[in-house]
Amino acid sequence: MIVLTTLSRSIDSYTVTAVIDTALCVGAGGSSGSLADKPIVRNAEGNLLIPGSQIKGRLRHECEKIARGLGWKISESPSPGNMVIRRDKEPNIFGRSEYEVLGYNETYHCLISQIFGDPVLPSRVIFEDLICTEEPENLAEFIRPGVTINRRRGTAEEKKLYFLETSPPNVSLRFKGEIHLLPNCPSYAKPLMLAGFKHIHALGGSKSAGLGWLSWETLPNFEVTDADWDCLARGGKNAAN
Amino acid sequence: MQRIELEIKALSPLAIARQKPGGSIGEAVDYIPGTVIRGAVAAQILDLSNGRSTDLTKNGGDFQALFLSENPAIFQNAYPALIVDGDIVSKDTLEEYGVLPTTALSSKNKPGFKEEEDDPEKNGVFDTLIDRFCAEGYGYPYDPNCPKDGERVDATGITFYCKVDDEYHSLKVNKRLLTRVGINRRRATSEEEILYSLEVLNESQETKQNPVYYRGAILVEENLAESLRNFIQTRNQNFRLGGSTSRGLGKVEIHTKNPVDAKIDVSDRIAKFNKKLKERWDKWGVFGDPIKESPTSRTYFTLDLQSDAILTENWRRTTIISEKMLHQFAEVKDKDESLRLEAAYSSYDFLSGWNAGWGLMKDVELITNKGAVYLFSTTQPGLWIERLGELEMRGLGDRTCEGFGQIQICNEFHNVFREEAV
Repeated sequence: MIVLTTLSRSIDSYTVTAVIDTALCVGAGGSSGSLADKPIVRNAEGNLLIPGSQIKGRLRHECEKIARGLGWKISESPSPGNMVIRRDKEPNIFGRSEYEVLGYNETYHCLISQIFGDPVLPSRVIFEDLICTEEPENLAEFIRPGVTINRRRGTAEEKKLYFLETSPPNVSLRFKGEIHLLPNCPSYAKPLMLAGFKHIHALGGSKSAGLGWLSWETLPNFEVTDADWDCLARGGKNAAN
Repeated sequence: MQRIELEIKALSPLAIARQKPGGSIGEAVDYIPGTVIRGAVAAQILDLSNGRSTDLTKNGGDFQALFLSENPAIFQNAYPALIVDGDIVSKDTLEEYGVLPTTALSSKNKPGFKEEEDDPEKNGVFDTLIDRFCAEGYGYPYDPNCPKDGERVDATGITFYCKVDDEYHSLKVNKRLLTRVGINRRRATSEEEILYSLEVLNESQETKQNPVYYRGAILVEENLAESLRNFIQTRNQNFRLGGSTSRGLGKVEIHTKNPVDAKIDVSDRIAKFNKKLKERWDKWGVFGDPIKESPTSRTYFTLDLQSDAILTENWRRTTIISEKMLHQFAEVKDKDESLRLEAAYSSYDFLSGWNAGWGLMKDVELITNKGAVYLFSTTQPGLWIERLGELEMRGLGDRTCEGFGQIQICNEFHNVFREEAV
């Protein structure tokens, strides 16, 4: 029985701040109004931002790597067809109680899907865009030209001159946003996400060419208990195979 | 019933899809449907009570009363609000607010409400319902032209409007397209077939620091009004509306007003409408004798759809409200034989959606578009006036608790004639 006045569970919110050490290049496909071939993504007010979808996707990827390393079976994201594990068609490797979710009697959900969601189970974590704290007026448009070199001749390749829009380089721009943990978020999400954040050293495009390298100024101050670590460490044990 | 006014401020882009993407672009609607607000409030209550896995139809308490009972709370659509200097204009100062009737027309070359008396850019908007009725009564075709330049007129292209200090404003929101791509986990490059674009409602207007607000309402039984209002107000930044809410979209701040009695008195509007209609009928007398009876002996009223409606007659979908249907909707006990549908201006569309509780798509419904106008007349107004006020409060047709079928009786814009285009 639900009584509105007695609902006491709450959503936990945590601030995340990233400092971009180099220049950031998060492309906005389909944008117009810039001379660049790959313009940078902005919000309606013109602030630079790192989209919540990118933080979520990247953090999910890091958490998947860690959980897989600990021996857990992880469903294959981001392809929706491979993420839903039906119990009647399951090849027995997902047959563990940890993969069962109350109210979802026909499907198994890996540890990562229980945090970040899949086509059947809604996400239990909400990510906001990380928005640049600097006013857009103070940030001049910075266009970075690039050219591809022909490997045989060692000169510029034909038709391969391109322009990337980036944030101004080496000015330590801060990007701030929040993440929210819903009341039904599993407790092992905290250590896993914290470890995942510490694995992210760069975001956006052209990371291998030196763009988008960052450091975390503020990470969520999760309270992590020993029980949470123990829960994660059970990955290799009790497996059906 | 009590009415809780909502002011919804967009804090991040809102991806409220008109239809689920069959292609790679999800179109967005330009308002927040009541069904989306209802879903967000229900999801919040379920998350906070851990009630998702239990059967709430039997012993659901307040949740059952709000969403599953015979008289559930009505979540009306939230439409764009008027913003002046970054602040929302209070509802009390608005003389009119809502959906412009489809009978309104404007110049094809320079459409829109006039911002000043001799606006060089806009030739003004006027309504044609009463003139059409009179022209028909006198046996003439009605083919208006622009009162300013004599050129062609067309539909206004304005959906939402308001009137403040005798000035009319159209209310619009801006949209933009966000393109996203899925990344293949093994190759760290873009995943095949996961490139998509979302059309979103902007979180601020073009001028900086100018937020976007929407205005809606919830109608709820007296005993739950205060607790629902407190529930929403204390968690005013926890609600997420529309799609992709876990990845940065859909964040809003909802401010609520104190619940007030939702009862509506429509008698003044009906009287004003009838006065104008009869004056106009007399003016048309310069063209000779009418071919229809004079409207002096009857009382006229209009039903203006303020939201899309799902209408059914004899189990079949329809876009017309017949006399029989109106009797049923208004629950008029003594059948009024004199009730007559004089005119109907409506069009249709198809609508689906996503029900998070089911985890499935909603059925595709044939809807009657908002803005539709139905003109009725009767010789027994006493039977109707109170019932029409009740109908304006509750709405008509199916799924009224999700904001469908909201109506307004005798929208005041019908009293704006061609020579007084605004």
